[in-house]
Amino acid sequence: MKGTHLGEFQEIVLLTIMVLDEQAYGVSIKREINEKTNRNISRGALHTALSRLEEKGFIRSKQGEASPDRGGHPKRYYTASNKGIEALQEARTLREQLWNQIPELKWQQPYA
Amino acid sequence: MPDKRNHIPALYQILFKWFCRETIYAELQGDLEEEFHLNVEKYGLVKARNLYRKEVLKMIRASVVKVPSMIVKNPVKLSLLLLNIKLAFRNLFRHKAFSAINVFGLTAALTICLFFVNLIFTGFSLDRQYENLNSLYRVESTVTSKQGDITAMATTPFPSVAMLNEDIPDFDMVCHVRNSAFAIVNVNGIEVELNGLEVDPAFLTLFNLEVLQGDIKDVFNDFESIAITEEVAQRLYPDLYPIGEVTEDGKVIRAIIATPRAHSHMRYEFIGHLNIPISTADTPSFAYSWNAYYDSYTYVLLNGKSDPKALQERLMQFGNKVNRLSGLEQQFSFSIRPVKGIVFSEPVMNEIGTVFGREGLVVFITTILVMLVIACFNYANLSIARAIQRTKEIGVRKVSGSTALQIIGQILIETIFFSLIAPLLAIGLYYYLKDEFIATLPFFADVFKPELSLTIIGVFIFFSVFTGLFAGFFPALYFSRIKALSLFKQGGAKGQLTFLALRKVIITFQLSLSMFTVLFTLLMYQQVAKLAGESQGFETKNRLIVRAESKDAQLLKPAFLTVPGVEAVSQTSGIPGTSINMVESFNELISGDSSIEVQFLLADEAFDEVLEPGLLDGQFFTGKRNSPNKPMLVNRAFLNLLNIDFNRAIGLIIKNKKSSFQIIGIVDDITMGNPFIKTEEAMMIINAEADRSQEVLLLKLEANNLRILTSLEEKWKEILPDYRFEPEYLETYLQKPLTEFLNLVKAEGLLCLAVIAISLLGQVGMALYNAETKVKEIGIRKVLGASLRSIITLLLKGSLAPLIVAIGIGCPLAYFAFINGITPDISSPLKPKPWIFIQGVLGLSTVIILLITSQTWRIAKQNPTESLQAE
Repeated sequence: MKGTHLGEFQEIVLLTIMVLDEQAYGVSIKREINEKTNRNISRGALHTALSRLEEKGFIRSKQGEASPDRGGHPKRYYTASNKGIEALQEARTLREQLWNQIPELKWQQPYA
Repeated sequence: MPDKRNHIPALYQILFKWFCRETIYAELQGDLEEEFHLNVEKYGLVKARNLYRKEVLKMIRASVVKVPSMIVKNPVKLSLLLLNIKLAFRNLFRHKAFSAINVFGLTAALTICLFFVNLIFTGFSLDRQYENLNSLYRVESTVTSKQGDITAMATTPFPSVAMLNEDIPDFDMVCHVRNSAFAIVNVNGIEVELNGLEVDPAFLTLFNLEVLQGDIKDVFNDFESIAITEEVAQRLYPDLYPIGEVTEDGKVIRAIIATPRAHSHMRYEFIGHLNIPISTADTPSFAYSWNAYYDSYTYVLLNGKSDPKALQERLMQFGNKVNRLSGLEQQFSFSIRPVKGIVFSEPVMNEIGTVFGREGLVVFITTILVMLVIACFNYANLSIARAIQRTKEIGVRKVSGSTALQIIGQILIETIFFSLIAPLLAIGLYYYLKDEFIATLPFFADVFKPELSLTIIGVFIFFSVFTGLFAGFFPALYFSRIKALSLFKQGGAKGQLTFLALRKVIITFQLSLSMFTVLFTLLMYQQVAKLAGESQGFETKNRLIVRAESKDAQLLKPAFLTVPGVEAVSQTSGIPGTSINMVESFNELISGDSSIEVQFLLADEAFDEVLEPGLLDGQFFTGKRNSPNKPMLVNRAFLNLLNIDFNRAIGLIIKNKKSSFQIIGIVDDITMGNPFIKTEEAMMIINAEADRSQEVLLLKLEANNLRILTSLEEKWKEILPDYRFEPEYLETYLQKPLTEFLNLVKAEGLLCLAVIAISLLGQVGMALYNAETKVKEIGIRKVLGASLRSIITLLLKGSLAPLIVAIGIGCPLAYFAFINGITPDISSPLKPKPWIFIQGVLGLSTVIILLITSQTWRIAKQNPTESLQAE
C-alpha cells in the first residue's frame, strides 16, 4: 500500500526504538544509532524520521518527565505500535525471501 | 552542573526558538540541551558548543521549521504561485539568448538611470550637513558695464562685503569668502598647486566644518595658516602627519577638514584666513577695489524674522548707495539666493563650484525618462513576442479550466520575474562602473556620491516591477479574453495582427530614435572638431599671461626680458580672443541716431612679436609716435563698419571727440575664443602711451618649462615681493569655455551610445524571435531549393521597412534639431553636409544588418530535416 512503505533509515529508527524498549526518546535513540550503525545522524534528521513514522502510524509517543538537565523541558518517549511491528516483520520477511533466492554460487567471491 | 548550563550558545538558542514549531519545541530543545551537557562531559566545553551549533543548523528542515501563517491559510494560491515561478524559470532557460537580450536591455537602461538619479539626489542633498542651511544665503550682484552689458555674478565687489554687514540689519552674520587663493606644495620635488578659499572667522559659524585633525581655529591666528582637506592630505601627505608642515610658499598646515566634494556646493582644497587690508589714503590696490568683483563672495545668515520685501527694498537702496560712490566704472545691483538647492538654481557667472542650473536638471530628468521609456518599450516588445509564441500552451490551459485571472496572473508573474532580475544586475553594473563614470566625466565629480541609498534602490525595483506589469499587461489581457478554440486555429485571431502592428510601431520608434541620436551625435562631434581647430587669428602656443598693475607691469616687462627663454613681452590692456570691455565710439562719423562702438585693445610695439597675428596690409607698430595721431591696427570688420575702402585704408586718419587715430595696418580677423560669441566684431589695436589700464603682460616663451617660470617668478619677487606670481597660459585661458562645451558633448555622446545599444538589443531580439518562429518555413524553403542568401534576405525583409521609415524620420529631425538648437549659439557653426548623414545612415544600417544576419545565420543554416522533425 502506498504510504506504508518503510524506508531504510526509518526501519533502523523503528528497530532502535524496539531495542530501547521503554527508554526510547530523542537522545537515547540518537546515541544508540550512532554507536551501533556508526552513522553520525543529526537530531533534526531523526526528528524527520520520527514524525514520518508517527504519521504512518508505526509509532506512538507520550510526554515524559522534565529534568534540570534539559532546561526544564519534558522528554518525549516513543514506542512501536502494532502496525509498526507488523511493518518491521514484513520488511524482514521480504529480505529473507530475497536472500534465500540468491544461488549459493554467488557467495563465492572470485579473486583474480 | 548548574553553572555549565549558562554556556549553551545563546544566539543559537534564540535562533532555534525563533524558527522551530511551537508544538515540538520543548522536546527538541530539551534533547539538544541534554546532549550538550553529555558532550561537555565527553569532549569539553568548546567542542560541545560547536556540536550544539551544528545541531541547531541541521534542524533547519521542513519538519521542524515554522510555516508562515499566510501560506497556511492559502495553500492553493501558494502552489499556483510556485508553479508559475517554476515555469518562469523554465522559460528563462529555454530561450537563453532571447532572455538575456531582454533582461540586459533593461539592465543597461537602469544602470544609466542610476547614475543620473544619483546626481540629482546628491545635488539636492548638498550642504545638508550645515546646521544653518535654511538661513544660509548668498548675496549676489548684477554688474552693468559702461557699455550697457549686464552680467549676473555669483560674486560681490570686495569692498561691498563690509558695507553689507553694516547696512543690512536682516543679516545676522556676514562672511567674506575669496576663492582665488592658492598654495604650492612640494611633493618629492614636484610642485603641486592647490586651489582654496580665503575666509573670515564667520565662516566657522555659518558652515560648521567637520575637523578631522588639528584645530581649525588656529587657521585664524595669522594669515599663513591653512586647513587642508582630507583628500589633499591623503594625496600629498599619505605617510606624514601634515599638521605643522610648511608649504613651498610659506603656508602652515594647522588642521585637516572633511573634503567638500559631493557634500558642499563649494569647491576647494584648503581654507585660509582672509586678509582684508585697512584702506589707505592712496587708491587701494586693484584686488581690493570695486573692480574686484570676480572672486569675492558674500555668505550671510538671514534673520528668521526678516521680511523678504523689506530686505529687497534695503538691498536696492544699498545698490543705489554704492553706485553713487565716485570713481566706479560699473553699476551694481544686489540680490540674495538661498544656498539650499543651489546646484540646480539659475547659474550665474563665476560660480564657486559646479552648478548645473535648471537646464541641467531638465537635461538629467529628460535623459532618465528617455532611457526608461526606451527600455520599457523594448522589454514590452520582446515580452509580447514571447507570449505570442505560447499561444497553443495558453489554449490548452484554458481548455483545462484556467480562469481568466489565472492566465493573467501567469503571464504577469513571468514578466515581472524577468524584470526583477534587471535592477539587481543594474546595481551590480553600477558599482562596477562608478569609478569609470567619474574618470570619464570629471565635471560631475562634485555632485556625485557613489553610494546608493535604499530609497533609490527601492525606486528602481518598483520601476522594474512596473515595466514587467506594463510588458505583460497587453498579452495577458488579450489571452484571457479570447475564446480557447480560436487559439488553436492557424494564423490566430485578429488580435494577433494588432499585436504585430503594435510591435512594428515600437520597433520603428526605436529605430528612428537611434537614427536621430547617431546623426545628432555625429553632427555635434564634427562641430566640436571644427571649433577646436579654429585658428584664433594669432599664435597661442607657449604664450603666457601675467597680470599686474600698469606701473608694475612697466617695471616687469624689461625684467622679464632678461630671463633666458623669454623671446618677447608685450604690455596690453586685455587679452585678445576674449570679450574686451573697452570701447571707443565713433558716433560723429555717421548720421542719425545709431551709434558706432568699436572694441579696442591698447598694446605696445612688441604686440606683433608676441602674438604674430596675420597682416593683410600695411605694417605693425614701429614704436614711433611722433604725430598726434595714435597708430592703430584694425580688422576688416572695422573697415566695413565705417565704410572704409580696403585699398584706401592705410594711412587714413579717423577722429572722434576724444582723439584721432591713424590706420597703419590691417590684421587678419582675430576671432573670439568663446564658442558661443559671434565673431567678426570690429576691432582696433591702438599703440598708446602706457596708461592705467594696460594691466596685462603677454609673454612669448621659447618653450613651456618650469625653469623659465621659476626665473620669471624670481624677477617678479624682486619687484613685487608682496604679491603672488599667478601666470596663466594663453592656450588654457582661451580653451576654458570650449572645454566645458566639449565635456557636455562627450557626456551626450556616451548617452547616445547607450540609447543606440539598447535599441540594437531590441532589434536583435526581434530578429531572433522572427527567425525562431519561422524555423519550419525556412526548412521547407531549403528543401525546395532556396539558397542561404535568399533565406537571410527573407529574414531581413521584416526589418527593412522600419529602417527606411526610421531614416525618413531621423535625418530631417537631426538636421533641424542641430540647426535650430545648437548652431544659433555658436560663433563658427558647422554647415551640415550630406556626407555626414550618409555616413550615419550607412553606419547604423550596416550594424543592424550585420547583427540580424549573425543572429539568424545559425537558424538559416540549420539542416531542414532536423528542423522539420521537431514540433
